[in-house]
Amino acid sequence: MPLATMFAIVALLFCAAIPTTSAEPTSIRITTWNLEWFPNGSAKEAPAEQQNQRIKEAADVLRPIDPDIVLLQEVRDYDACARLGEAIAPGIYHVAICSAFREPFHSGLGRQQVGILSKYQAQAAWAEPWKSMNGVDPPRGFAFAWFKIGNQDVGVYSVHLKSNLITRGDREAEAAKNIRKREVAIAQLLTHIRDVIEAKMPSIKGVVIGGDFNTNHDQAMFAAERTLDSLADAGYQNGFEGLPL
Amino acid sequence: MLDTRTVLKDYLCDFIFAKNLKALQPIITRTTASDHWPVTRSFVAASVTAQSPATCTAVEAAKHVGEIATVTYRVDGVHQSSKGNIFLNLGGKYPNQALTAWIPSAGAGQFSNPRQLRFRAASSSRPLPLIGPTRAPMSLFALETATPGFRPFVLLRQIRQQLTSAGVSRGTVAVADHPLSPLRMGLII
Repeated sequence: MPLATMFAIVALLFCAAIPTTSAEPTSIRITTWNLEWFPNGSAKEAPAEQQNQRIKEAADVLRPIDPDIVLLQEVRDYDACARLGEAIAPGIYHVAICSAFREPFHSGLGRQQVGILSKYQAQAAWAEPWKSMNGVDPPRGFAFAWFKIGNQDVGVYSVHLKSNLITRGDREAEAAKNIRKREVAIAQLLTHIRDVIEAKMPSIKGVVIGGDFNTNHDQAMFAAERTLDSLADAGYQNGFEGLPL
Repeated sequence: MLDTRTVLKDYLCDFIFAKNLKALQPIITRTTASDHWPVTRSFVAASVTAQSPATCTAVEAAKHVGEIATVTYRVDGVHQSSKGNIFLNLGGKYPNQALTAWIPSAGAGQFSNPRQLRFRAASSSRPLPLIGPTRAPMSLFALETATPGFRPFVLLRQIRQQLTSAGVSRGTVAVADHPLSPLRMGLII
């Protein structure tokens, strides 16, 4: 009996609230997906055939969703993003940005990068690693792209915050460290928005932050964590708030 | 087959936040991967419609059956029954309230004082949102409360009346686990 694995994508479609010249608000569909070591499937390099198969399968999932912007996590590199975009719809998707973060304690680039695919050409895009702060050293960083959609400027972030992986040491202490790394990362992100986006790119009014936050409001272990609350406090609306199922 | 609710509860760590843009109705969809997809954990599929949610007063909420709507209201009365259920009269005092919110007794224990809801409503600078329903004829509303991470669900009285008049009479009150809340919720189907 084939093993049918259900997986999913978190997508959000929203209408921009900023007035446009047309009567209808501009709508864009944004999807975020942690593809898990894409396209290798693990930390090890997979044969080309397997990589191609995973790219095809991911594209087959994304195509009917028809996202305008895809926030990617755990993609190996720019090439993997580009091949995914081509597999979804040739000539339609552009790689706005794919990060090239280094992994701590390893040589070379990490294989869990963040990226942004889009039907729109980005006005500007870059990636930036999180900074070590008071001994807290969050892994990876963020990818950012600035899109002009209609007559609106929208800034989009793709993030993949620290996981809850604990391989050694005191579990409670390590869990607290993981939480702190996520909180520090989001604090840096909000600072970036304030000091860079709002200060230097004032035309960008709408901001989207999506990705794998590795936390939620539903599990006791995250009860005291401020990662998501920080975004809410800063005026960000959670696309899943009140999600009725 | 994986239980979607379990999946949500365990793995919903993917979010999209938006500011100065209206983030709208998330819809759960599912995809079955092929044998080749090396998924080691499960995700939840969701997409959001392009439809802009209505914002209305409690009195107008009944006009939005089957739609996602943000309802702002004032809590005009709080009553806890002898069986422990909490009833909130919204948008007017009993018996002229626009909505009646119901917090099942199973979840009522999380409120040491149900009137904190009233306090929150009166003191909050932001209106408490009611969100839902997902689709007609189910009428499910989430009520954000002052209790972190806890979202009880309320029944929209007028929707129930409309369902009844529309032939969905004797609306069954079903109970189901909600993935985003430890509470067992009530809903009308």
